[in-house]
Amino acid sequence: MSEIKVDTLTGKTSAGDITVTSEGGAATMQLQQGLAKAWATVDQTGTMAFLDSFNCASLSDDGTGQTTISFSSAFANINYSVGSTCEQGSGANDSRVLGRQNTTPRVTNSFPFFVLNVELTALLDVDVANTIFHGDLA
Amino acid sequence: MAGKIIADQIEHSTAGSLDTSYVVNGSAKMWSNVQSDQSTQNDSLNVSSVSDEGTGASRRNLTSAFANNPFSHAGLSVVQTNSGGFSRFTSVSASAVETSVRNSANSAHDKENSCIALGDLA
Repeated sequence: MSEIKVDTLTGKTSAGDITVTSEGGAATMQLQQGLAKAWATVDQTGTMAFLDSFNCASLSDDGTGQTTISFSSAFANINYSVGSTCEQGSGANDSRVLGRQNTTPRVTNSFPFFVLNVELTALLDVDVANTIFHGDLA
Repeated sequence: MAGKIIADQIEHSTAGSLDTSYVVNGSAKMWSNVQSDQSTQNDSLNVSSVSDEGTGASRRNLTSAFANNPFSHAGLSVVQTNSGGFSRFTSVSASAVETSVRNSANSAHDKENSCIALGDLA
């Protein structure tokens, strides 16, 4: 097995562009573009806290079911992509959704979100709010 | 010509080591952020085109196809606090994913949305 021991990977032709070959070998992709630039699992109940995170500096409790994640390293623009799920309660009949708070414009260094109980149309704190962010870092 | 290294593992001096299979398999193969008109893309990876499929619905066509269908995907829609809203994401083929944004009354809802997909590319 071959092994590389290195602290930094940098593209030779272009510093921010390292190409990897797909699993099937038919395509190549830019390594940096496919990497998650931030992710977080957040417990909104009680004292809000990260259960684990990457490139996330702090949280703010914006009220019931509402949280803002601040990034350690900001995105280069506001057009990053976000995936999410949330976990709360037991069983399979709890409809919870996580969305971005749209009361303020997007910014590059933080992401405000809310969790909604769909049946009650009410905000609620959840045990686990998962988010993952892809895009271009500054 | 750009340099090329073939390796099964990379190791950082302090942060530990990682099989490069995690780099290839664990990287997002597609991500996209689309405006509320369901056809204007703000930014993306591996998306060749986006089409408006009706209120709250859009299709992302991929530049490089996945090896299998379905593939793993997740997403988020942007809605006003308390107005509800959720997204359904469907991998309609190995080279396209459709999103459908709905409000808490299960009505189609034109809102900004993001999605991310992982899996094996062809």
